[in-house]
Amino acid sequence: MVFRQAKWEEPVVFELSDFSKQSFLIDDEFVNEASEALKRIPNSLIRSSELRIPNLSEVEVVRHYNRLSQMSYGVDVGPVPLGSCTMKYNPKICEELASDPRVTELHPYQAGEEVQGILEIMYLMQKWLSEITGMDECSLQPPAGAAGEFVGALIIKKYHHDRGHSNKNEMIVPEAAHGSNPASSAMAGFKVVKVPTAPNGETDIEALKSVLSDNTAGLMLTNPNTLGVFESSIIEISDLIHEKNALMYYDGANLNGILGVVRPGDMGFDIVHLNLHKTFAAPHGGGGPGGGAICVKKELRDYLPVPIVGFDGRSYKLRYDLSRTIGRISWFYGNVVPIVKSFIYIATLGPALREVAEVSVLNTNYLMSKLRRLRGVSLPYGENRWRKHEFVVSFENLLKETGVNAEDVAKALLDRGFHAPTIYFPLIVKEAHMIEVTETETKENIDKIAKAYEEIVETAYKDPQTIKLSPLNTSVKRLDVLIANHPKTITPTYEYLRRLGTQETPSSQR
Amino acid sequence: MKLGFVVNPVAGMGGSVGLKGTDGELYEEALKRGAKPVAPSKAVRFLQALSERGFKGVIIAANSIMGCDYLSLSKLRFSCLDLPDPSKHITSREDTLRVVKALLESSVDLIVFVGGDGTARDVLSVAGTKIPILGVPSGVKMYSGVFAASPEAAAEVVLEFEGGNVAVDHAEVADVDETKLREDLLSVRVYGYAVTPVLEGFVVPSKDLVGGSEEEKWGIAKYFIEDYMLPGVLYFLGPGTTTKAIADLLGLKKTLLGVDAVYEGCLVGRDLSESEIISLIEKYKHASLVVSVIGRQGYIFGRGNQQFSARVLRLVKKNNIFVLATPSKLAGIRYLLVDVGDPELELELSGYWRIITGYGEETVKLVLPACCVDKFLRAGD
Repeated sequence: MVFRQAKWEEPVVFELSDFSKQSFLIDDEFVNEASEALKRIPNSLIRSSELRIPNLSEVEVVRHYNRLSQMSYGVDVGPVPLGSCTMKYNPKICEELASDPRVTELHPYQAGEEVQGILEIMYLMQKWLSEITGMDECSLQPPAGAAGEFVGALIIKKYHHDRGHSNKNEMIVPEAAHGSNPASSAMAGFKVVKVPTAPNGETDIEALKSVLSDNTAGLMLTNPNTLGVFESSIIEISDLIHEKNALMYYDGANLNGILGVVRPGDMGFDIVHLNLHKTFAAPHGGGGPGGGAICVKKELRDYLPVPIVGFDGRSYKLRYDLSRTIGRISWFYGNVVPIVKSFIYIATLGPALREVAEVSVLNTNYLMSKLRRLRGVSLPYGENRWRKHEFVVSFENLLKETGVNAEDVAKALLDRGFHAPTIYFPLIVKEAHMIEVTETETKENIDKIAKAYEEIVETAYKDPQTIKLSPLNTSVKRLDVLIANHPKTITPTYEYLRRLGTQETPSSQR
Repeated sequence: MKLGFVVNPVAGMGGSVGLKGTDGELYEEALKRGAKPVAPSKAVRFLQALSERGFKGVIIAANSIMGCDYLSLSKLRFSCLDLPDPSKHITSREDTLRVVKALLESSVDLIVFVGGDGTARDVLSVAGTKIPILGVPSGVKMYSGVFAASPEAAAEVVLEFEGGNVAVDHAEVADVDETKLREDLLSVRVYGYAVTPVLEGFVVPSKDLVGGSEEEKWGIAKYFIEDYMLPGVLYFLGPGTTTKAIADLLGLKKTLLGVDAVYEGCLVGRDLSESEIISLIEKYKHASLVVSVIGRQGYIFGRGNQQFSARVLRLVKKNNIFVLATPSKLAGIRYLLVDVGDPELELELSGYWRIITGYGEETVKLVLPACCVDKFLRAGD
C-alpha cells in the first residue's frame, strides 16, 4: 500500500486573517440594535482597541482545518500502536452523545435538582468501576492518570501520617515503571526506591525484600507491567508489603490486558487508579480532559478526593463529607465529558468487557510471534513467555549489524502509513519498541503492520541508508536534531519562530 | 583567540581495514592491509568549516603533516611551531606530545586535535586539565567524551567558544584495553579527565561511559549531604565526577582521580593512599566510604579506587558504604562488581545494595563478587 501524506504550507489561523477586511456583512438594523445595547454598557467595559480574533469566512475556516487534519494522524486514520497508551477506537456514539447539549450546556454551579441525570451517570460509573476493579469506592475527580497517581500517593501519605508513622517515607517503584510513578511519589514528598526487573520480566522479589523496611510506605505497581508481563507473584508481593503495614497501589494504565478476567482488588491492591481515556475508550490528549478515576478499599474510603457522588435513596448529591479526604484535586468536574463517553462504552459492552482483554491479548501475542522471528529483533525478558496487552522488542542486534536503530525503524513505519509505537521505553530494554495493538485492530491490520516491519528489516540489511533517510512520504521529514537543539535556532513556539525572523524553520523542509 | 591545532596523521587508519586501533605496531599492520590516511581530510573539513563560519582568531599549529600543511590551503590566520619536521618519519606518540607541549607554551586558549582515543590520551597526558581540549573525530576508537560529532560540529563549537557562549566541563578520556580487544573482549578504562567545551548535540558524551548530566550529579550530591551526611563521621570520597559534586557543593576542592577525606565540612586529606586512609580511620573512629560506579563494567570496588583495599573495607562495615550513580550510568549495567582480591570479603559484600541515583531517589542493584560471578547469575542475567 502506497502512502503519501498531504503537505500544506498552512499558516496559523491568525496569519490567514486579513484584519483590514470584514468577513460578514453588517446591516443598519444590526448597527441600531448594537448601538442601543452599547449605550447601556459602562464605558470602562467598552473595548477601545481592535479585536484581533481570526477573521475568516466560513468556507475558509472549514478549509483551513480540513487541510490541517490531512497532515495529522490518529486512530481514525490508522493503527497507533503506542505501548501502554491503549489507543483504541473512540466510538462515535460516545462522541455524539457526549456532544449533546444536555451534557455540553451543564454548568458546575447549577442546583442539584437540575443535574440529577449527570450525577446518576457519575454515581453508576463509581459503582461500575469499583466492581470492575474489585474495590469498594471510587472518585472520578482526577483529570488525568498522573493526577490519579498523585492522589494515590497523597492518600498513602495521609494514611501513615494519621497513624503516627511519619517515618514511613519510602515508596517502592519498579525500575520499569512509567516515569509518572516516581514523579507523583516525589511530588507527594516520598523518597523513591526503584527495584529491578528479573530476567523473567517480573519484579525481582529478592531485591524487593532487601529494601522492605519499617520506612516503606507503599509499592506502586502496574500489572501487567510495561513489558506486558503479568506479575505472577503478585499475591506474595502484596503479603510482603502488608506485613510492613504498607499499602499497595495499582497503576491502571495497563488494565486492558486483564479487564474482566482478573481484578486488582483481588490481587491485594488497596488503591487503584484507572485511565478512562485509555481502557475505557475516551479520547486521549486533544480530545479534552482525561479521567484518572481513583478507587479504594473501604478502609481508605474517607481519604478519597472530594466531592464524590452519593445517593440517599431519593436523589443524587455531591458529597464533601469524607472525614479524612486529601482534599480537592480539581476545581470542578470538568472531566464529565470523558466520564460520559466511558459510561456509554461500558454500557454498550456490558459482559463483553472481558472480550476487550481477550482480543487485545490475542492481537498482541499474534503480532509478537511475527515480529520476534525477524532478523535483528529480539524479545528480552522472559523470551518464552506470553505477554498480555503489549510487548517490547529490541532492535539492538539490528543496530549492531546494520547501523539502523529503533528510531530509524520507527520513522520507516511512518513512511508506510503507520504511526510508530513508543520507542526507547522502558529504559531497561535497549533500542526498544513498545507495541500495543488493542482489540480495535483487525487481523488484516496486524498482518500489514507485521509486513511493514518485515520489509523495513529486510531493507535495513540490504540498503540501510534508505531507512536512515525516512520518513520521506510524510508531511514533515526527519528533523535535523542539531538545528532543533542549537541555542541559536531552538524555537519553543511558532510565535517565537516568527519573532526570530529566521528563514529556515527547525523542521527540515528538504 | 589563539587556537592550538594538532593532527595525528596516522589516526583512524586501522578502522577501514578491520583493525581495532592504529596504535604502535597496528600501524604497520594497517599499511600492510592497504589502509589510507583518514585524518588529513577530516582536518581539511574542520578548517574549511571554521573559515566559512568566520573564525577571527589565530591558529597555532604543528608544522607540515601535523598541522600547517592543511592551513596553507585555507584563508585562516595561522603560525607554525618551530619543531623538527615530522614528515620525515612515521609520526608517533612522541610527536604528538612534543606538539602539545609547544602549544601550551604558546598560551593557546583551546586545543583542537584530529584523532581518536589514543590521540586524546596523548594530548591529555600533557595538557591535563590546564587547558580545554576538543577532538575532531578521526580515530577508530572514540570512547572518550571529548569529541565533537563531526569536523563541522567541531568548528561550530570553536566558534561558540570564541564568542564566549559555551561552558567547559570535565569529560572522560577513555581507552580500550588493546590486548583484550584483540581477543574480542571489550574492556574500557577511564584513563583520566580532560576539560572540554559543553554543547549538546555538537560534543558527544563518552560512548558507553555516559556519566549523566551536571544537574543529576548535583541532585545526588545535595541529597547525600542533606539526608545522609552526619556530624562526627569521617567521609572518604572516592574518585569520579559524582563524588566530586559533593565536595563542590560543600565548597571544597577535591582531586578528581583520588580519594579525599571530609570531616564536618572540611577537607582533612587529599589523594590518600591505603595506609593514609587506615590511619585516618583509626584517628576518627567513625568512617564511611562514598564511591561511584566505574563506567560500563559496573565496578564499585577494584577499578580506579584500589586505595579502598580489602583491609580498608574490613574496617568500615557494609552499612557505612554509600554508592552513588546517575541513572544513565546504571542503565545497561545488569549487576555491579566488587574486586578486592579477597573472595571471602567479596562474598560478604555481595547482595542487593541501594544505590543513590538522584535527589530522593534510590535504586536497588545486585552486587556480585568478581571472584565467582557465575555462581550467582541466574539464566538471562
